[in-house]
Amino acid sequence: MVEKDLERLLDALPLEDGMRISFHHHLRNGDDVLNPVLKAIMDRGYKHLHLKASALFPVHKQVVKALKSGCVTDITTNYVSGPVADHLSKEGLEGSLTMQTHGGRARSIIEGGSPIDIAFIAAPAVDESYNASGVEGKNPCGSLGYAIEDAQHAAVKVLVTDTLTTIEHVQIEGRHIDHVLKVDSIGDTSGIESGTLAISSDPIKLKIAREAMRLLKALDAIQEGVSFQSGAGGVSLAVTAMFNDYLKTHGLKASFYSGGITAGHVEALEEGLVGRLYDVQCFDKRAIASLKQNEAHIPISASDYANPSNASRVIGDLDIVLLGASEVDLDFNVNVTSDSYLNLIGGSGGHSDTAEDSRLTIVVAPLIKARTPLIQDRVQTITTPGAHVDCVVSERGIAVNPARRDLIRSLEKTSLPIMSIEEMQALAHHYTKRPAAVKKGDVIGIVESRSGGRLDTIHKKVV
Amino acid sequence: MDIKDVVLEEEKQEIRRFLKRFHLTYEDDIDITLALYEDDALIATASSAANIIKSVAVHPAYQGRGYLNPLMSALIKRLHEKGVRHLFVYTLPEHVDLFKHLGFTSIVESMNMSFLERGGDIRATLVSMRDEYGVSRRAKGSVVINANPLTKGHLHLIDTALEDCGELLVFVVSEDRSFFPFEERFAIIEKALADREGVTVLPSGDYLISFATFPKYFSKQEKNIQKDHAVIDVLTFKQHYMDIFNINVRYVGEEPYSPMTKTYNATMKHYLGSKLRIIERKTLEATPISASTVRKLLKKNGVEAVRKYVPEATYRYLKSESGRRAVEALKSHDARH
Amino acid sequence: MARSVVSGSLESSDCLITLTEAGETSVQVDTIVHEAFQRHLESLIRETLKQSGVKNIKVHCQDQGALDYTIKARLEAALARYEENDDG
Repeated sequence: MVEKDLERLLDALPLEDGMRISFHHHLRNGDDVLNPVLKAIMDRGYKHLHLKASALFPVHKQVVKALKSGCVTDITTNYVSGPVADHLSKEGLEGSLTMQTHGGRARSIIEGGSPIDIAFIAAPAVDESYNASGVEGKNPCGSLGYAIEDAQHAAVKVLVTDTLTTIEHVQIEGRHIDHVLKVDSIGDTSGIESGTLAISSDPIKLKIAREAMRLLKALDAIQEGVSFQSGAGGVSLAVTAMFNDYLKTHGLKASFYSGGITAGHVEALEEGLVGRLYDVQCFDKRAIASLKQNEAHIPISASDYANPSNASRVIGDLDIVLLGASEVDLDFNVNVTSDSYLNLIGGSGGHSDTAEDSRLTIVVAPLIKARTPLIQDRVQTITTPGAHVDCVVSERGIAVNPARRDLIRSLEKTSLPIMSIEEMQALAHHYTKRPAAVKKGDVIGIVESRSGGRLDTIHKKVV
Repeated sequence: MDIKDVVLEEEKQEIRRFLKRFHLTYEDDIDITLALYEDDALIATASSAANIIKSVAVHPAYQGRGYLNPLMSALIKRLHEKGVRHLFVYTLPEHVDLFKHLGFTSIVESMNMSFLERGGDIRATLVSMRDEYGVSRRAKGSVVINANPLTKGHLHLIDTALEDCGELLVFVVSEDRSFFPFEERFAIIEKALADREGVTVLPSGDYLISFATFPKYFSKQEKNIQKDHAVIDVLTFKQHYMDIFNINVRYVGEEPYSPMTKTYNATMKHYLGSKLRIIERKTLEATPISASTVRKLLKKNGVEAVRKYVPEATYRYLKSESGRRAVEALKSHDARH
Repeated sequence: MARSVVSGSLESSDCLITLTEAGETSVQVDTIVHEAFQRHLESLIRETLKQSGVKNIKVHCQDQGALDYTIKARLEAALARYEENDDG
């Protein structure tokens, strides 16, 4: 039976202290499922919950209240920003913070290492057999990739929807589902786009994008049948547009683009520049619409995307990935989890998954951001080990991992500003001066590698 | 990105509509409003009323993208040019970090509201005020009065308090929103109390505001918001004034009329506990004396009608040149305070 | 009222400098780059102040990650404006 009252649904669920509850982040900053569900659970006085959200965004303010009240004591997530991140950086948490990767989360849920007691799954449209679609309904979010494992492996699975209808594009099968909650609204789709998705007009970012493109050309990396992934940051969007242009002018066709999908990826598909889009999450409305129309735009689960134990994962065939960084160190380790002052600002998401799998991993980032140099002696937190990072492209130079002798050799005769990572650091320090060491506070959690090991610790800020 | 002054009525209407989605109102006392446009679309706005920052909002789709800082920089610089350097803001606890990033520091924080300042430091200000007025380090009592104007009721409160504690600080609300100007109110009190031992008269400073003038720019649940302001005011007094001036009792007059004052007294009782003493009002012919009664009488029947309710110092002021002007203005005006 | 001028802004990579007449010279730096550059910024400001010869002034620098030349330019502009307002 479809429940229309959250309280009555909670009455029907096997809630207890200490249980592990999960949410997905496909509605991103427009999500209005996590906050009300968590609030209702908190109001019932439950304690010591372990929150397993695939990602936490600025909108998820209820989590701060739940942390303060002792309702939530542990968090496992792949990405955290906004007030929850600020709170964790400054105050820590009673239990522990575990930062996973997109592939690692899927793996741990499937293998049972990270069990979920109750999964609350925002579903834009649900039919009478409890099948769910992400592309139909009044608040479509596109792919439901990060919710698939939750829907299959949680002990109890609840769909939360604002649209009960017949559906054409089934992404979650009703046979897995135990309960459906009908609410007035699961959120605001316009929140999916907030904060990202404009091709940058910042000259520094455009310079970085052009340098990254020059590097790809110099390496002759863009061949017929190439596969490519880039995110939704300003530099990535600009490179995607340039990449598309390159394919067009050279009469080439890429085999697939993967990961988070944007309008730029969709245009390439519709112009015949790429064969397929493997979509684990949609970053804008154009992507959501395309998922509904284009057969070659394929929604995939987090496991099919990046689970290291899944031999047929999409990124196992990835040629090139473009990734961001808040810090890079002299060993090419990359941090996208915190900034240089121990403020949590994100997390791996698919960063370390794709870096490990892709044949060529290029990190793009400004050399100096508000006086803080990109290259540090040691990153505050390792998100992605340096062994999986091949090149770092900044507006003032390109550093190649010395382990990639093949790349260094093929770049020897180019006019690209190739330099060692140490030279790149010295260049940054010329403008910024060398930063004094930043004190680290207590350990509040760990970065977990995609295979489940401990990659690094996460420290609290010293306030 | 374009930052513009909001001057025209139709522009203000646009700001009002914009603020509505944040449950914010655009209050009448606002004197500067800036609006930030991107491609002709309104993205963010910030205002000020005297030294209080009000009605700050950024369109949700543009939050966290660096629009607040240029907008607030412009407002801060504008106010600085006007000589307004000590700024205040009342905000929700979740927005405190945004203002801290703009150089504001916290004065007090309650569950529902935070009070911050920029360009001043409450502790340093109070310490220098303590030294300037030669306030002793001994434990003492205190009253905070607006005295608009000073009545025999106020004197009764002060004398009862003084008898109880032996040493008393009289804070006069500095904020100039009352009918009689601060300087006049202050001078009357100094004169009226000149012969009393153990009394020091001080301005309340910028931090204690008359509860009657609490900003109420949050339209949502206005009643609670006023209570939130009362909590902030009481906490400011408790955490800073009582600490720095070594005050161990605050005295207030019992409130027979205004429900708002009653709420305020109840809030004080809750936070100060036994450190708050409520003194019964002085009555004259069975009517409690209050400044508002005096103003009403002044308005209706003139200076002689209030003579029996006020001390000599107030009466003399009312008969003076500036006092007469103030009474004339009162008669032709519909001020609440 | 004490003589006081401002220059700069609170945008990223800029700083807002406030100079206020005072009994003695003091420097206060609030910066988003925290202890990594706090000391460096303080000595840069003191050095620039010394070169200008202006004394008895309170410098408040709210830094949003400005580089040295930005800080110096903002401070020099503020000092010039401060000197112009000598009569105020």
